[in-house]
Amino acid sequence: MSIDWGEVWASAVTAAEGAVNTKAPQAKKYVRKIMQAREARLKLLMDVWADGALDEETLEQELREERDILEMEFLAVRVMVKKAAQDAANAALKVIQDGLLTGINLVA
Amino acid sequence: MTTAASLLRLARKHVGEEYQLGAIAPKANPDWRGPWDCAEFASWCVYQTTGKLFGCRPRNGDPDRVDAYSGYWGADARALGKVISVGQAAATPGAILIRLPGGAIGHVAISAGGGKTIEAHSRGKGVIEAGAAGRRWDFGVLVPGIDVSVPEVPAPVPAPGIVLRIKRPRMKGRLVREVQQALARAGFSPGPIDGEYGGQTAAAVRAVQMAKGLSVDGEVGPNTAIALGLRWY
Repeated sequence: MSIDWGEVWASAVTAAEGAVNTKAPQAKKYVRKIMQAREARLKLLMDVWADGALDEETLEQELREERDILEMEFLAVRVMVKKAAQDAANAALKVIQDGLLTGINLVA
Repeated sequence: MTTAASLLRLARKHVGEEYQLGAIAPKANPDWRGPWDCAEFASWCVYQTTGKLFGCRPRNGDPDRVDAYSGYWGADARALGKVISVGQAAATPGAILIRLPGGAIGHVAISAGGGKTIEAHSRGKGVIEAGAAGRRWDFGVLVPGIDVSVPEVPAPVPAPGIVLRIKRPRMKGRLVREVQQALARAGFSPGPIDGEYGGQTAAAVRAVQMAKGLSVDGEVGPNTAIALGLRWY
């Protein structure tokens, strides 16, 4: 696998934290905690993809679901408004998907 | 209004009792001691503490005859309850965790807070105190009539690994094919070995889960994969 997961993950967390409203800095701590709970699964999805064990459509579907789960969990942090939760989830998944695409390009 | 503590106290009294997939529990019978189906267990506990039916059909039927089901729990959660995230539910004693039936069977568990659950789990384990971590849940619900205290922030539940299940469009790939081949080797026909996770594959998975005393949901995660002799992600 050509993706440096550690780097992609750190960027994804930073992107999600960056999307959080700066008026609620304590929310960033929870964003990180929530993302940590999903990290192993997201990494596994990348591994499965890299092994060619699931097709692209399935992977995309799973990543969309992860995005929705992240948004729902972010929204559960009371200080976060819906827009911030959506932005944070979108930002995190965009970094992961971009990292995946980069990996595919490198492999190709 | 009843308290989450009453609900949990009642649920704990039944730990160790027998599980049976699809067994109906007479919701108005306070002396019922099983066998329990997961949704029936949750609905019985809710009825016994609130006097209201939840997750059952018909909605206003005879409490001793109505059928509780994870799909009805999902529908009632949206129509009558307050849907919350899995992390919130896992942190909230008295909330309910729901895995929707992608195919035919889902799962329902009562949250004891702190990531713990009380649930009618499977034939192999019966009614147990378990944990929410590493398992697939769709969402949680706060049931009307149960006074719960939702924490300010969720307690994120470690996500499960790869879980094959019924989805639209279908999950596809070599991993699905490997599961189908393992099912066929074990004598449970998954239909065509085509690498697509459809209804026949899910039915064969449920049959294996029943035979092995696992939680029956037609989904393949680590436990079912190991039971099929597969290396898993």
